[in-house]
Amino acid sequence: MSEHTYGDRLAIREALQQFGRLNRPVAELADETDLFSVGFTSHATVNVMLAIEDALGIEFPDELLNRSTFVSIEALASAIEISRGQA
Amino acid sequence: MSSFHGWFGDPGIWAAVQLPEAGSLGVVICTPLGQEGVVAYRGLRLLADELQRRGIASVRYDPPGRGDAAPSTDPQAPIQGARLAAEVLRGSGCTHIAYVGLSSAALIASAAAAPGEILVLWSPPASGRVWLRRSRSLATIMIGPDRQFGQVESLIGLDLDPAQAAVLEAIKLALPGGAPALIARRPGEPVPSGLSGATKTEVEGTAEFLDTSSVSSVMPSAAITTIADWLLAQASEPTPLQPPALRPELTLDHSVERIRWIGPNQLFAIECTPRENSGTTPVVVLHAGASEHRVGAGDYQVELARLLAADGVGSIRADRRGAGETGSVGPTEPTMFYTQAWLEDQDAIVADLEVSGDQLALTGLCAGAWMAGHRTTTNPRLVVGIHPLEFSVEPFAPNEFVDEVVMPRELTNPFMLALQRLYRRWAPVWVRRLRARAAAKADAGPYLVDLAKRADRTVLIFSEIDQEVFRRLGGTDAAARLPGIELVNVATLDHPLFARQTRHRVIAEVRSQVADAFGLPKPTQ
Repeated sequence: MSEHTYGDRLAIREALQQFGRLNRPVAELADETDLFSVGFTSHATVNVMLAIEDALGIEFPDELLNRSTFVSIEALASAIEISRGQA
Repeated sequence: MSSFHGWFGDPGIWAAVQLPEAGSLGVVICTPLGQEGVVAYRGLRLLADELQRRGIASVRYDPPGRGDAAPSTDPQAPIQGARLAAEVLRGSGCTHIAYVGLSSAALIASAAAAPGEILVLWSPPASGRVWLRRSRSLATIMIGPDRQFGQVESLIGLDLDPAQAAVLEAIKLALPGGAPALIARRPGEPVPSGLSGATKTEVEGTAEFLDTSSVSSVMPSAAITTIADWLLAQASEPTPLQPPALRPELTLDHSVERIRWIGPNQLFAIECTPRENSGTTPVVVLHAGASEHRVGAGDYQVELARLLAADGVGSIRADRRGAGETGSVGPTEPTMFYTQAWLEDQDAIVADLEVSGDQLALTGLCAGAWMAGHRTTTNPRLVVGIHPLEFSVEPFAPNEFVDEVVMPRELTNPFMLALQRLYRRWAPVWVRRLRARAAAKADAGPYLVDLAKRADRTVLIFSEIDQEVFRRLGGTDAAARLPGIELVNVATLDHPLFARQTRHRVIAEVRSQVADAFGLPKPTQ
C-alpha cells in the first residue's frame, strides 16, 4: 500500500467516524465491509464525502455520485484516486 | 394560548401564528428548503409551542412559490417571504423580531434579518454555495439522472430554476449587527466564517431529526429547549398582542383555497375549489406519503390541487393525525404509519365532504395510497394509488411499522412456485385474508379484491421499486383477474417523488384519470 493510499484510507476512516453514523465502530470495519450493512445512509454518504473532500482538497465528480462509490472504504479509496485523476 | 392560520401579503405567504396574550419578542421560524422543511415540520411546531409557553410569539410560514403559499418564481421570494412573516408579527404588536433558521433556512434567516434583529442559526451550512453543493450531491445519489428536467433542477423535494439557484448560491452568512445572535451547531460542526460575534453552543440530535425521513425523524427536544431558553433571555417587557391580520382564503386564477378543521380530531386541511364552482363539482381527496404534511414531497399535492381546480375539480389535502398542524405535538409522539387512526381520519375527511360516491375520488402516495385503497364511509368512483408499497388489509399498531422497503423474497424452488401459483389462483378470499393478517409483508390479493368491489375504477401507478414489490406480492397476477384495476408503470426509481420529472408524469396521469372518471374534458398538460 502506498503512503498516498494509506493517508487516503485514514482520511476516509476519520470522516466515517465523525459523520458516518454507523452502528459499528469504524476501527472494527475491514476495508471491504459493506458500509450500507452497518447503517450508512444517503445523508451520511454526502456528509462523509464532503469531509473527505475538505481533508484531501479534492472534489468527487458527478459521475461518482452513486451508491457503489460509497459501498466500502475500498470503493471510496478508488473514488479518491479517480477524483485526483480528473482534477 | 392562541394559534391563527391563513394567508398574508401579495403574493401571499401561508402563515401559522402562535401568540401569547402578551409579549414583546416575535420569532420568525424560517422554513427549511425542500424535504428538509417537510421532515422538520413537527419539530418546528414544537419549537413554536415552547416559545409560546415562554410568552414569545412566533410565525411559521410558506414563502411565495412553496407549500400552501401563492405561486411565485421570483428568486427573492424565500427572503421576501421571511420579511412578510416578520410583518405579520409586528402587526400583532411584537416590538422585537428574531429570525430562526435551521440548516438551509439559516441562509434565508441570515439574508432576511435587518440590523437590530436577533438571529438564531441552527446547524447552518458554511454558505449558500456549500449548501447547494451538498444538496446537489445528495440529489444525484438519491434521484440519479432524473434530477434535471429542462431548465429546472431537482434537489430533494425542491425544484430550482437557474435564477433561483443563483440567488441561494450567492448567500454568505452574516450577522445583521445591533442585536444578539446564536449559532446552535451540531457537535463537531465548524462555525461558518463571518459569524465571530455570535454566541456559540453545541446541540445534540440534529442529525437524527433532519438527516432522515419524516417517519424516522426524532424530535430534537434538548436543542429546542436550548434555543427557546436563549430567546427568552432576549425578550423584554411584554405588552398585549392582537390577533394577526391573516386572510382566511387564498384566491388564485382558477381556484380558491380555504382552511378547514375536520372531524372529532380536528384535522387541519386546505380545500381547493374551482373559482367557477357549479355545486356538483367532483372532489379528490389527496393523501401525502410517509408522515408528510398536506403539501406532499416537492409540494406536488398543492400543484395537483390547483391544476385539478383549473380542470373543474375540487380537492382537499389534510394533515392526518401525527402530521402537520393536526393535534398537539410532543417530544415523544408515536409514529402513526399505517394505523387505524389514519383510516378513521380518512373516514372523517370523506364524511365531511358530504359528496356522493359518484363525485368522489381518493388518491395517495405510498402510505397515502394504502389509505386511499381502504374501505371508507362512501364507495368512491375512482381510486388512484401512487407508488403503493403496502397491501395489508389490517392496520398496524402505532410505532409498529418499520420505515424501510423490504423486498419480498422471491421463490425459486419449482414445487413452491407451482404451489404459489395454485394458491394465488384458487385460494378463497377468507384464506388469503387470514394469511395476509399473519404475514410480515401481506399478499396483495385480499387488498385488491376489496378494492375492486368498492371502487368503480382503480389505477395504481408504480415506480420501478414498488412495481417489483407488487409483482412479488402477487399483485400483478391478482390485478389481471379483477375488474376495474389498471396498472401504470413509470420508468423511474424515484419512489418518493423527489424529482420534478416524476412528479410531472404522476400529476399528468392523475389529472387524466380524474377527467376520464368524471366525464370531463381531457386536461391540457
